[in-house]
Parts: sequence; C-alpha cells; structure tokens
Amino acid sequence: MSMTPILETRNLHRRFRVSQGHFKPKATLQAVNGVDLSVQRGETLGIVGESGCGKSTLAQMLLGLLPATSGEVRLDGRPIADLRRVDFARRVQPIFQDPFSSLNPRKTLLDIVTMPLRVHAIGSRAEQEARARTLMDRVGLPAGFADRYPKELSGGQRQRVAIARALVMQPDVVICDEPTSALDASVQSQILNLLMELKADFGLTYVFISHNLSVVEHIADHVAVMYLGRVVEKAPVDAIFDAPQHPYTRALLDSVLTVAPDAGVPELALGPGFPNPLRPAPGCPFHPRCPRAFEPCSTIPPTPVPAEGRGAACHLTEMTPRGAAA
Amino acid sequence: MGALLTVDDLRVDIATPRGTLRAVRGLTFSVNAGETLCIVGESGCGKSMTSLALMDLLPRVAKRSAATLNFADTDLSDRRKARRIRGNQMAMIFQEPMTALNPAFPIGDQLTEAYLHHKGGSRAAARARAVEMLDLVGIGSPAERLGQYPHQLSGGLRQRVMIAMALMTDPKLLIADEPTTALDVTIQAQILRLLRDLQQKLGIAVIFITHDLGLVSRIADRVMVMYAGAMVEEGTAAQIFGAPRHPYTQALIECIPQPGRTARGTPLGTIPGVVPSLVGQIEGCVFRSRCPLARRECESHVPTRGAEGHRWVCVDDAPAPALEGTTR
Ligand SMILES: Nc1ncnc2c1ncn2[C@@H]1O[C@H](COP(=O)(O)OP(=O)(O)OP(=O)(O)O)[C@@H](O)[C@H]1O
Ligand SMILES: Nc1ncnc2c1ncn2[C@@H]1O[C@H](COP(=O)(O)OP(=O)(O)OP(=O)(O)O)[C@@H](O)[C@H]1O
Ligand SMILES: [Mg+2]
Ligand SMILES: [Mg+2]
Repeated sequence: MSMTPILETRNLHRRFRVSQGHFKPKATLQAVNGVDLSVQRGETLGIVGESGCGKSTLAQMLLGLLPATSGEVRLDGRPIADLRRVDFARRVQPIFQDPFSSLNPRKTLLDIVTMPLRVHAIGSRAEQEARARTLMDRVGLPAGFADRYPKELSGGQRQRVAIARALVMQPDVVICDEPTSALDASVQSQILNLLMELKADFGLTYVFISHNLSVVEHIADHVAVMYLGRVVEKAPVDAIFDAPQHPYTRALLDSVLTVAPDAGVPELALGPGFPNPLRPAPGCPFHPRCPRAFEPCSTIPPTPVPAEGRGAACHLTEMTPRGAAA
Repeated sequence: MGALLTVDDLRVDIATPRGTLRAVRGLTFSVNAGETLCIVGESGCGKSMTSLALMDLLPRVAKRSAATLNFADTDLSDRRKARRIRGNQMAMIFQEPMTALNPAFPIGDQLTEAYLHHKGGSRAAARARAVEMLDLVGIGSPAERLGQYPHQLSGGLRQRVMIAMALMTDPKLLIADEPTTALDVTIQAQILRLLRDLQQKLGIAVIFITHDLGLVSRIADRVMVMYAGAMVEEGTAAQIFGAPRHPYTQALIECIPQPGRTARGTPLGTIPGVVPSLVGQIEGCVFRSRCPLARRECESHVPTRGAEGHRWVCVDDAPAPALEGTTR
C-alpha cells in the first residue's frame, strides 16, 4: 500500500463567485470542498454523485485546466503545477462530458483524432493516420467517417470521436467525464470492453465519472461517492455495491432503474428537497434529505474519509466502530 | 378518440458530398394525449433527426417529407401554423443542452423568451414563471440562478434548465431527447415522478428518447425500437421487454450490464459488425448485415408483422427464442 499513487489530490478545494443579480453581493459557491483521493497505476477509480456535486470541476482540476482555490493535484507524487504542460498532456488525457464543445468544427474527424499525435510528434504521418483509423474502428466509427465534420454526427458519434482522440496516444491516465452517457447499450459495451482491454494490456489508469451505476459497478476497482463538493463514501467496488455504508450511497443504489416493466419509478425514502450548493446545509450536507438523520447531523460535519482509507463520512457509521459488523 | 400526434411515412434526407444520407426512412407512429412513447435504438439511427423534424428545427442541409404530420388537428407541414405550435403547445428538450443554450445570454433571458413570445404578458410575470419552473425541477435558489450563464452550470443543472424551459408554456406534447443523462439517479427519479404527475394532471403526451433501457421499461406506455433510420419493432413495455420479436431488440437487451448477472470486470456482450451506411437505399432488412439469423429472404422486401399493438419488421413470424443469459 505504500506505492506512490499515480494520481492523487490533497485537500482540494474550488470556489466560484456567483453573481446574484444587480446590486446584490456575489455569493460563494463551494464546488469542490476538500477532496482527498488517490489512484494507483492500472486502477479505475469510479466517481459517482449527485448532479452538481463538483465532479466535472474536479475533473478539470485533475487535468490542470482549472486552478484549485487551495490544495493540490499530484501526478506520481509531484504537484502538477510543477510539470511542463506538454509532458503532462502526453500522460493525462480527457474525455469531456459535453463532447461537441470540445471538437473543432472546422476539422475532419480524422484530423481531430490524429491531432494529439501531431502535437506530440509521435510517429510518421502514415503511422499517425493508421493509428487513428484503428481507434476510430474500435469505437464504431468505420472508414466512411474519416472525412466527416463534427456537426454531421449524432450525439453518440461525437462522444466516440472524443473517446478515440483521448486514447490515440495511449496516455497513462484518462479522465473520463460521462464517457458513455450518449451511447446505446451495444456501443457502450464495445467502448467499455475497449477500455478494459487497454487497461489489461498497457496498465492504463482511469478516473471514470458516471451517473450510470451499473457501468461503474462493472468497470471500477474503487468507487468514490460525492455529495455537494465532498467525498461521502469511498471503498473497493464490491464493498460499495454489496454493503453500502452511507445513506446517500444506499439511496443511489435504490434508485437504479433495472429492467422491470410495470415496476414504475421507485418512491425514495428521501426528503423532498433538492441539494442546493448556494446554500449548503450546516453539519452533514446530506442531512435534509437523509432518512436516517439524527441530532448531530444538522450541526456537526462528519469526519471526512482519508485519502488512502475507505469508509463513509457519516455520523451513523462513526458510532459503530470501523471493522465491526454492521 | 384521435391521436394527439399522427406521423405517417416521415423521411429526413440529408445532402452530403457522398450522396443523400437517408437519416429517417419512412416512420409511421402516433402518440395519444397523456401517453409516453419511448424511442430507443443504436447511436446514429435517426432519433434526434426524427424529433427535430417534428419540431421543424432540422439543420439547413436536411430535408423533411411526410404523408401525414398532424398535431391536434393542425397540419404541421403548414409552416405558418406550425410556428405557432412549436415552442408553445409542442416543446422540446434538446440532447446537448450546451449547444441548445446560447452561451452569451443568462439563462433567465432564455427561459422567458418563448414564453413572452407566445403568451405575452410582462417581463416580471415571465420571470416569476421561470423561478417557479426552476424550483419545480429542483434547482435551489432559482432567482439567483436566473442571472447565470450556461457555462457556470453543471451538466445536470443545464439539463434541468432545458426541462424547465420546455415546461414554461404548458405544452401538450413534450419531446425529450435524452433529458436525464446528466442527472444522478435519485434526482432522475424525482424528475421522472414530476413528469408523471404533470402528465396525469394536465394530460401531457411525452416522446422520450433514451438509451437507458431500464428507464424505458419503467416509464413507457409504448416503445418504438429504431435501427438505421427505420422502425424495427413497436409495442408496449411489457411486450418489448417480455417478448421482444425483432433480433435487434433481443440483441440490444442482451447488451445491458446487469448487476448480479454479468460478473464485474468481464467483457460485456456486444452486437458484432457495424451499422450499414445510411447513404442511399438499403435493400431488404436494415439489420441483416449483423443479424445472426439472416438468410436469403432478408435481402428482399421484409414484411411488417404482428397486430396493431405489437408490430415488428422481420421475415420471421415464429415466436422468438426465449431470452437467456448467454452473455455471461
Ligand atoms: N465557471 C463556473 N462559475 C460558477 N459556478 C460554477 C462554474 N462551474 C461550475 N460551477 C458550479 O459548481 C457546481 C459543481 O459543478 P460541476 O459541473 O462540477 O458538477 P458535476 O458534479 O459535474 O454535475 P453534473 O453531474 O450535473 O455534471 C455547480 O453548482 C455549478 O453551477
Ligand atoms: N448535418 C448532418 N450532415 C450529415 N449527416 C448527419 C447530419 N446530422 C446527422 N447526420 C447523420 O444522421 C444520422 C442520424 O442522426 P441522429 O442525430 O438523428 O442520431 P441519433 O439516433 O439521435 O443518435 P444518438 O443516439 O447518437 O444521439 C447519423 O448517422 C448522423 O451521422
Ligand atoms: Mg458534470
Ligand atoms: Mg441523438
């Protein structure tokens, strides 16, 4: 366990100043609020969490595209702020949540996918094209797509271009933000199989952000569950799915819509409110929706989960000693 | 009782340097008031083009044609009449909020625009309505959010802004293209229940496009399965998931990772082969190049089978082999 993680975050924070309209003071929005994570080489860290809890903001910071308000991101133990931009980009590649805005509308798909190889001067022109075409094939964009432009594609086809571009250089780490959300079940399986193969063959490391819990369950080794800017639970995949500790993790698992005609949408035992990052609740941020909240939850924030450790940030689990049977 | 929306032989042709790409190839379907029709199908099969065609919002290079295109007794091919309905009685939630929202304007302006255009009234009343709708879809501090720009919102917040925007004018038909992909499942459940309540209260019809088959099985009254621009099967959720008849539907259902059935980390089932090129005609069955049961007859005209309730396009009429867990 004492190996240096390939990627880690230390007490990472990101605040945004948000205008509240004319003549009103700006409000502070704490998008990422003290996140400690670590990923070992060749592992997949799944990140799930409520919508707006800071996952994409975290991804942007892991990619060095957004500065942290405080705390740091390290690659192989070195703060990424100290690394040269090109060296970093050679090793860490993104797949963004909103693929269209990240694809240059004036370039053909083949240009877009070979671009990273050209920027880093990897291989000859012919080798670059061959590699790009192989990957496009693997993501289900066969030869006929090479000369097309992003606007000529469906949502899922664009997402696959972004995936091919991220994988073409064979980076060490890929930060995937909702990489398969626009894909049908068969193409999604094809992409997940490709990611798993690259991991087995070349030891790729993934940070895999997704709302699709079945996909995360299938592909992740460890899972972090986030809520309003914090990690509320972290554990190996089996533990998260077989024995979830945090009430929010349980609520997530209970809300998964498996194929069951006539079953309807489950009625959740959650409070009716929606989380509000502009006015987070005091104490545990989840307590207004938590079915098991009791008196310390509304005043005392639970102890965070340490970077290397596992467990839930929850007063309920703090009462039962760690390791004791629940 | 007549259907709210009637579509007969809808086609979308796109001019490309490689020839005419036939994105939608003669779709026929209808939607009743208060009903939920889910459209599923492989990525690129023409789902978004279908919804854009209904809204008359296709890109300039795309051409629409249809034998019938009727909404509440209005002929939608009459563009002048259609304009009064679009964004008013018929509203759409777009697949990629980031491209549908204008990055240069705060979301408050965008929420109120169509409302002011169709319903008139004061700016203040429109903003009050916007606050109400944002609150309904679970965006806290809605008044503060009105001043924010799209890039300042998370993917899921943008998606809920789109949902709120579509609900502003009390539409009769809501076309939702992947409206919940950026929502966590607890909020997704809350939004789906909200939509269901609105449907029951106001009789809104919904066309719901999604890749999430679990979701489809839970909310659909009817399901239409598309492949390469064409309908291959249509039926109730119970029929599609309980007794799928088209080999594509069967294969698609087999691909979903199922907790407890597909072992973690093992390869997932896929459908081998690639989708045929959509440029030009496809003779015979659209799925035959990837179908495990394909044979000679599939190359010629393929009949539509079944009765009104459950129809599928296939040479086979024999009961489908029962779905078994073959992709372990
Ligand atoms: N540039 C910005 N300016 C102001 N607020 C921002 C900005 N970027 C993000 N935020 C806010 O930070 C919070 C976290 O956003 P983020 O995009 O990281 O969420 P997310 O977890 O990726 O959500 P989703 O699952 O919906 O994509 C949101 O409340 C969002 O509105
Ligand atoms: N402007 C365009 N020019 C040429 N072809 C286009 C254009 N827009 C879309 N297409 C093609 O039309 C087909 C249908 O696209 P559509 O966006 O309707 O697919 P979809 O079913 O919504 O897919 P997804 O699930 O990936 O969103 C696709 O194969 C796409 O490549
Ligand atoms: Mg996001
Ligand atoms: Mg689409």
